Amino acid sequence: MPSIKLQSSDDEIFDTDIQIAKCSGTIKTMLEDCGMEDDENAVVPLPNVNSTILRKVLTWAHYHKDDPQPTEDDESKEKRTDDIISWDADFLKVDQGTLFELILAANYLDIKGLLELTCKTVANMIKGKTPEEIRKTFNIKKDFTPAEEEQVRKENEWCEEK
Amino acid sequence: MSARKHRGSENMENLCPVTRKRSTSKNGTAAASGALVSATKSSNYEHPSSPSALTYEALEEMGIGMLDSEESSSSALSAIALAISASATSDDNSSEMTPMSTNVPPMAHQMQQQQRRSLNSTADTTLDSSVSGNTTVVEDAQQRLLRQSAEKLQALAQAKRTALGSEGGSSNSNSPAKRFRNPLSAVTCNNQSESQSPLNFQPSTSRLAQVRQANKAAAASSPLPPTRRLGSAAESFFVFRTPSMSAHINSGINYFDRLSDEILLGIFKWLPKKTLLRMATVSKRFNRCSRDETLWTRLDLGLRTFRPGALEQIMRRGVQVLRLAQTTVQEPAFTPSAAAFKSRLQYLDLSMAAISKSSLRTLFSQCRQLKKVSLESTELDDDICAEMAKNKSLEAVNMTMASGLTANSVRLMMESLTNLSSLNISWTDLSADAVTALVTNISPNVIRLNIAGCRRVLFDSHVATLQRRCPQLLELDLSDCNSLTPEVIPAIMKFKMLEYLSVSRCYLIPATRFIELKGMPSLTYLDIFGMLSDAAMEVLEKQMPKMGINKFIHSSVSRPTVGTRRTSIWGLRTRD
Repeated sequence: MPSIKLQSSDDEIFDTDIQIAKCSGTIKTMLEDCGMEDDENAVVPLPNVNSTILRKVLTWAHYHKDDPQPTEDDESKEKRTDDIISWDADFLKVDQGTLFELILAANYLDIKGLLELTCKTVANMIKGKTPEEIRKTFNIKKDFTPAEEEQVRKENEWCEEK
Repeated sequence: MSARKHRGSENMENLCPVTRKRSTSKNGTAAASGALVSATKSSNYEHPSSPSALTYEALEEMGIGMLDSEESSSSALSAIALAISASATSDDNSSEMTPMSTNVPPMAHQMQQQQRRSLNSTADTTLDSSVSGNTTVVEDAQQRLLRQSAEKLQALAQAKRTALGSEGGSSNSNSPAKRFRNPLSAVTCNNQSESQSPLNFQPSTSRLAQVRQANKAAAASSPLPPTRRLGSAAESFFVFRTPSMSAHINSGINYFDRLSDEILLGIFKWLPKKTLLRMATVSKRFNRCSRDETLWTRLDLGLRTFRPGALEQIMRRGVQVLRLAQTTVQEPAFTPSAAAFKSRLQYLDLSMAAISKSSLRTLFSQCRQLKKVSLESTELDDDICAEMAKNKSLEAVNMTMASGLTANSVRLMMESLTNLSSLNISWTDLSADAVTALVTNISPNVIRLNIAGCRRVLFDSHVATLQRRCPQLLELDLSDCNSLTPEVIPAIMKFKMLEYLSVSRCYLIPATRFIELKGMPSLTYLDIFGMLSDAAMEVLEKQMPKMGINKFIHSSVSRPTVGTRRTSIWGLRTRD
């Protein structure tokens, strides 16, 4: 199996199976556009991903290497967040910083499955919380004036509470 | 569940009294370390209200707050119980805690290991403070925290963080080495291997330290976080989500700031609508992003009661598929400026909605792109119909049992709605003029028509006109049009493509005349409810063996929802 070298932002080199690396749309495009595929010594620089995160990303990609390509057809799919497989759930038992860095990496590397998974995980962390709990959980500052807050609250209270 | 609950209470019952008794009876032996005992006791007395000090924040810090389930609360209870019992026994000899670990139900076993870890660390931090309390001044922030009322819980949370070793968490834990070397660490070891000499802390302590350091080293070299290794043990326990939840506590970083709006929407799209509305009140950025049109394409608010102004907010979200069936809309639904707004709404189900005519007028004045609309059982007037008629792309209209339809509005709608392919205007109390306006102006593109219930106003000539206007009808419901006579049969038979016909309760037509309909090659279903005796039905079925007779009690023409399916309208999902 041919492999390529991925270089993290902190200059660590990851010898990676080319098929696994190609689950990243970004790397795939880079390889194909630059004709690097056949070059054994080619190094793909990934300046936006550090080695810790890249290692995790590659671990994920390795586990999911045989997954079918996620379909583009976003609309017809039901939006559920309770379908995370246990391996992924275990994989994402990380601190918030790592989770968000994985989101950024998945976005930068264009790995749809991982981006979807990490976004779902954050969504699951949000669900069922009050606004105050959400602020507390994610260290979000309430930047509304009392008047603004009242206005926003009004605009978002549609139904009588049941 | 119940096992955990049971376990928690068991600890309370078994441990506390026993240890209390022992600590009193063993005062003499413990006197050797009298300073220690008194220090611990005073620390206990200082916080007699530890259970009540279990504030929400403290629990949340432990990662419990995020779980709403009953499970978590019982887990929390057992954790509290453990925390208390841990502090109660901290002045005791480690060996005396052994009984609690034996003979536990196997269900609780995995969890127990977790708890033991935390318990252990809790105990040792407590002891830490008591040992150093009189002699050395507490240096670091954690120790200062311990002096506060939530002391034990803080320690417990900290201990869990350490135990689970989340990557970010390791950086903010204080003096781990100190914890590792604490004598009370031996508690864990003694519990796990009872062959150990109960009073000999040192070997077990160092062994534990070794194990932990080994774990840590493994964690550092492993690409996966150490939590993964704990995964199996943690799975059945409430600290399940703790690592991801607890690491932020001291970091104070809002990681959302690092995400672009696009990624933020990628997260928001997985949230239920109710949560999205709540997200708007979190911060300005969330407010802005939560309103993004892409999040509000489909919306099902059936059966709700809307506050004044809510409908305007709903429309402004840019909803395209909206189900408002059986809603109650409180007035005023719109502000005066709302009429100028142009919505993107394409599919609107207002079936049986309680909405005022003026609000409905405003609503339709915003809509120019409607494709399908249901106004079943609503109150209409000419203005509403005129606004609706401006939606030139309307394909399906369901107005069954609506009131207020006049000949004028029917004519206007039929003239304007040239793309109409499906119309249900049954039981709308039409006048004969309205029926005439309908059949003479209806779009030739209509292939499904339900005009049932025109008891005394729809005549044979109307059907003949309709046949000339819409020769390619596939579905026609003329039930309860009691004025139809047998003369209508030849007109009906000219519909060369008709597949479904209902002439239920058209009593002037003798049942035997329907046998003629077998001459219609395309006709597959015939509904003639209320007109046949069992014997006549038998005859008819014999005469027309391929015809499905009386198969459909309810018409589905233009109806958004049929049967029990309520999550989509006209086959389009209303929920994400």
